[in-house]
Amino acid sequence: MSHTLGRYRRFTSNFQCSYSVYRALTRALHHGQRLSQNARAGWETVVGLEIHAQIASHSKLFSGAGTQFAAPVNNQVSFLDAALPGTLPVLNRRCAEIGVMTGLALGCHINRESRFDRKHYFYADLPQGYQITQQRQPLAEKGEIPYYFFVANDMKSPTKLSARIHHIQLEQDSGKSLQDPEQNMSLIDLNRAGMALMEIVTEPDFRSGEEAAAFVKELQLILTTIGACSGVMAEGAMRVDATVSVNKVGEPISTGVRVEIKNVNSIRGVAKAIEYEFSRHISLLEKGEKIANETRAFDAENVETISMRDKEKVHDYRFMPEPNLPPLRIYDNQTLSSDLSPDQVINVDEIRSSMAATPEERRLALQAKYGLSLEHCQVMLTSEGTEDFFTAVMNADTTRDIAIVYQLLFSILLSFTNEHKIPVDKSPVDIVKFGDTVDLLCSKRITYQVARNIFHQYFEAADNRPVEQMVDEEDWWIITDKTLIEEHCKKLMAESPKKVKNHKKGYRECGFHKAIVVRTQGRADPVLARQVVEENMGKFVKKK
Amino acid sequence: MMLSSSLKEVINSLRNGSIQSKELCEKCIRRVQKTRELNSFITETLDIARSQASESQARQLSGSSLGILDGVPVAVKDNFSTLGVQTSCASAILKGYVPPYNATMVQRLLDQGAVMMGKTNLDEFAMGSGSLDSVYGPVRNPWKYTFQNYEANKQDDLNKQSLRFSNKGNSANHKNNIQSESIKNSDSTNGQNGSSGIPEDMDVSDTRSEECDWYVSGGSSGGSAVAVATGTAFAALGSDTGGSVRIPASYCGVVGFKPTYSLLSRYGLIPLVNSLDVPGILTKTVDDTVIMLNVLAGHDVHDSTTMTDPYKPVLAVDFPEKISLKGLHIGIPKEYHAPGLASDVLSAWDKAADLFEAHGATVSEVSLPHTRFSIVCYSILCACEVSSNMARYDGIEFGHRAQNADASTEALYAASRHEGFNDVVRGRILAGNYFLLNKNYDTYFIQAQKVRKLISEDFACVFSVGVDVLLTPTTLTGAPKYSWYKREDNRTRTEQQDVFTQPINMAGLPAVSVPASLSDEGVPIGLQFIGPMFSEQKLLTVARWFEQQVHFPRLSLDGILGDL
Repeated sequence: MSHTLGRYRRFTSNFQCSYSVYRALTRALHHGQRLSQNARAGWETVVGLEIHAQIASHSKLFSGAGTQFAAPVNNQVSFLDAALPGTLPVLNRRCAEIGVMTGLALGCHINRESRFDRKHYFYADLPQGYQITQQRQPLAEKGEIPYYFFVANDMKSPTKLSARIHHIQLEQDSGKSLQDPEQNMSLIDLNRAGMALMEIVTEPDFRSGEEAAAFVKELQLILTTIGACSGVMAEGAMRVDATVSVNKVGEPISTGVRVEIKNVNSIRGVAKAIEYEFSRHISLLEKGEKIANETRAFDAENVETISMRDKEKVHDYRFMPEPNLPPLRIYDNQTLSSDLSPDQVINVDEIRSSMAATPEERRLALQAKYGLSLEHCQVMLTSEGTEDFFTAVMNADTTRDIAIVYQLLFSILLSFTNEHKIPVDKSPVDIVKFGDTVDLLCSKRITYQVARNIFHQYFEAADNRPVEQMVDEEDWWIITDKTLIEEHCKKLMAESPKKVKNHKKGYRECGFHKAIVVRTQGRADPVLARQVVEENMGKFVKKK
Repeated sequence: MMLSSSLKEVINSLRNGSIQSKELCEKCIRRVQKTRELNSFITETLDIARSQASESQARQLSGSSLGILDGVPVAVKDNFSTLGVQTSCASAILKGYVPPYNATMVQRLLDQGAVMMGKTNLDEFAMGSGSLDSVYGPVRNPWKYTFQNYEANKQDDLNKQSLRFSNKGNSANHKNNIQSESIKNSDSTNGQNGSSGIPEDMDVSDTRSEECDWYVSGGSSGGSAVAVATGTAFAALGSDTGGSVRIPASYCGVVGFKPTYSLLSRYGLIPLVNSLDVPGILTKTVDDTVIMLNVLAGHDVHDSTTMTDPYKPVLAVDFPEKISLKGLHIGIPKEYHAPGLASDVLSAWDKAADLFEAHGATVSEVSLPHTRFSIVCYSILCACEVSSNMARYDGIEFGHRAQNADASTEALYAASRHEGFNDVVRGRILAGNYFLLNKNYDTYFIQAQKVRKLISEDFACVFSVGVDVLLTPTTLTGAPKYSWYKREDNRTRTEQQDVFTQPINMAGLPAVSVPASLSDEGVPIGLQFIGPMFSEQKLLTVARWFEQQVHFPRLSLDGILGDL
C-alpha cells in the first residue's frame, strides 16, 4: 500500500498545478534536448524494440487447441501443432481481428491484404521445421503511439514522447524445450507451439533504457486495455527484444554496431538490459575495441547481458510463402460487398467502432473533463475499475470536489479492496455510500480518519447502515469546537513539558496536533487542531 | 465378370441385389491376393474391408444405405492419412507411422459406406513418375504381365489372412524372388542407402532375361492405377502434383482425373507441393469418375484453399446414338508435338482429333508458348516446397528416429533424415534449400513464380478465345518397360514423363486422361483433355463422349486369375 500513500502525498501538494503540468508535457520537446539529456560522456545510444505479444485468444493461431497458461504438459496440442503430416493451418479469425484491433490502437495502417510466410529453422520445439509468420506482407504497418517518460526522481513532470511502429505481424509461437543434463535428454512441451503472437516492431526511436521501458509499459497498457494480450510478462505473454547501437554524439545516429538482446521478461529488465549494454559498448569503444554484431541474452539476476553461443553463423531462414493459407483480406465499409457473409469477413470499420478506448484517449478525456494530472490519470488507468468508479461518482454529482473523490478512492478505498483482493466495483462501499462519504468530507462534517472508520465498518463489520446514520449513531461528526480542542492541547502541554521545551527551542516539533486527532478518535478537525497548537505553542522553527 | 465391372455397374449390382457386399469384398480380396506380385498395395486392410463389407451388408439387408458407395471396394494411395492404418508415403521415414485421423477424402469415402481394401504403393513421397522408387519396391503394370508367381502366392495367402495389415516389404521376401532382391528392411543400418531400392533394382533388372521384364505402371499413383485396372478396387484415390494420377492411368488403361485445384480437399494428404497437389480419382470409366467426384468435391473447413461456393454436382449426360458436336471447340496445342513423342501416340492423338472433327466439332491448333519452360519452373517450385514440407520429418514427434545418434539434437536430425529419405527426396531437399537461400530467392523462386503465371496465362488466353477443351497426349509413349525405364535416374525420367501433365498443375486446371488405344506393343495409350478452371461438367462430358466412341479394350484378368 505504500505506493498509494505516496501518491496521496504528492496529490495533496500538486493537484492545483495539474493543468500547468499538463501544458508542460504536451509541449513538444526538441530532439536535441533529448539526446543531450541521455548522452553519457559524449556517447549516445539508439534502441529499437521487437515485442512478441501473445494474443489473448481461446485457441491457437492455426488450430483449435487451447491456450491456457500452465496447462498440463502436452495437453494443448492439436495434430497441426505436432506437425503431423497432412495437417493444414486454418487461420483463427479471432486472432486476426485482435491483430487488426492492435494495429488500430497503435495508429497503424491496416493492410487490406497480408500474407503468411514460412521461416525455416531446425529446433526440437519447432515441430514443423518452420514458423508461419508474416515476413513480406505484414498485417499492419507505419504506426505511431505517444507515451510518457517519467524522469527518475521527478515523477511529477513526465515528458510526452512518441515512438513509431514499423509493422505488426502475426506469427506462431514455438514450443518449449527443457534440458535434462543428468539424463542427457531434451524434453519437449508443445502446449505453447502454435499459439498466436503479434510481433510488434518499432523504429529505432529510443535514446535510453528508461525510454524503452516507458514505451513497453504504455504498450502493455494499450494491449491489456483493448483486450489483445494479458500483458503478463512473467508468464511470457509479452517478451521484448531490443536492438542497441552506440555512437559518438555528433556522428549520425544508428551508425554503431547493432547488438540484439533477446527475451527480456520485465519492464525493469528492459531498462536495465539496455543501460547495461550502453555502458558495455562505451567501455569497449573507449578502449578502442570493436563491438561484435551478436545476439545476447539478459541475465536478470546478475543484471548483465551474455553472449548467446552459436549465433556467429549467419542464419538463412529460407523464407517461402505459406502455400496453404490464402491471403488474409481485411475489408472496410466501402469494400464490403453484400455477397460476402458478415461472419466470414473481417471489417476494419466494425472493429474500430466496437473497440475499447485506448489509454491515450482515456487520459485525454479524463484530463479534459476533470482536470486530473497526467500522473493521476496514469494511476487510474493502471488500477483496474477505478476509472469507471471515479466517473460514476462524479456523474452522480458533478459538483463534487475532484481532489477529495480522488483521495478517498485511491488512498482509502483501494487500501481496503487491495487487502480484500476484490475489484473496486465489487466493494461493499458502493457508489452511493462512497458518494455520501465524499459529500460529508466536502462539507467538512467528517474527517478522513472517520471516512476510513466508515469504510472499515462496511468491509470488516458487515455494517449496512447508510453513511449519515452510521456517523450519527456512532457520534463521529467532526469536532470544530475550538475550546474543546484547546482543552486537549493544554492537557498535552501539561503532560509533556519536555516536548514543549524541545518544540519551543526549535529542537523537535511536538506533534500535538496529531495527538489531538488521536485523542478525539480522529474526529478533531486536523486543520483546526494545528491552528490551536500553533496559537498555544508558537510555530515550530527548526534551530540550525 | 464382377471384377471387370465398372463402378457404376457394381453399384447397380449391389442395389438390385445381384451381389452382396460381403461376397463382392471376398472377390476383391482374392484378387488382391492373386495380384500381390504387382506390388500395388503397401498395406492391405483386408480385415477392415471385411468388417466394413459386413456392416454394409447388414445395412443392405435392412434396406438402409450410407450412400452411393455403400459396399463398394476402394483403394487409397498411401499418402492419404488413414485413422489407425499405417500411412508411409512409401518412405522409410514414415514406416510405422499410424495417423490418428482420416484425410477428408478418405472420410468422405467412408461416410458413403465404401470398403477400404488397402493403401496403395507409390514413389516415395509421390516423387516420381514410375512408381519404382518406393521403399516397398516397384509397382508392376498388369498389362501383358505374366503372373509367374501366382501358384506360389496361393500358399502364402492362407498365412497372411490373419494379418491385419500385411507389410509388403516383408511379405514380398518370401513370395517373389525377383522382388526380394530389391527390398531391404529399412530398419537395417548396414549398407549405404538401405531404404532406397534403386541400386538393387538396377542389378536385378540387368541380370534378368527379356521375358522377365515387365511394364512400368507409371506414377506416382501407380498402386492405385493398378488396383483399379486389376479389379481389386472399383475406384482409387490418387494424388496429382505434376501428372501422378494421369500418367499411371494412361499406362494402365484406366481413367485418371485431376480436378481443378481447390475442388477437392487436401486435408490429410501428405503434401508434395501444396500449391500443385490435388487429390485425384482413378476409375475404369469417366462415369465412375463423375460418381467419385460428386462424393468427394466441395469445401472443407480443414483446408483453407478449398472453394467456398457450394459444389454443383457434375451430371452424367447420356448421349443419343448420333450426336452433333457442333459448337464444341477442341484446341490442339502445337507445343505438345514434343521431341520423343512416339508415333503410335501421335497417331492416337491425330485419330482423336479427326474423330471430333468428323462429328462436327471445331478442331484448331493453338499455342501455349510458355509450356516449354514449365518443367524447369516445376522443378524449382517443387524442390522449394519439398525442402520446406520435409522439414518436419526430424524423428522427434513421429516417424523414423535413428538409433545411437544421441550426441546432439542436430546429430539425431541428420542421422534420422539420412536413413529415412531416399536419394530422390534428399536431392530435392538440397536443391530446394539452395533455391530458397536469401541470395537465390529472387533468381529462382520468384522467377519460377513469374513463369508459372505466364504458363497459366497461356491457358487462360486459349480458353478466352473460345476453346472449350484442349486435347493432348498424356505421355510421350505407351507404358515403357522396366528395363528401359531404369536406364535413367528418377529426375531424368520425371522430366520426360511429366512433360505433358505438369503445366496443367501449374495452372490449377482440371484434366483427365482417357484410354484411347493400344500401342504397337499392345499396352495402353491415354489422351488428355484439359479444361478451364471449374469446367468439370463440360470436360468430363467431352471425355465421356470420346470414351464411348473409342471402345477401349478394358483389361480383364478374369480369364487368367478367375473371378472367384
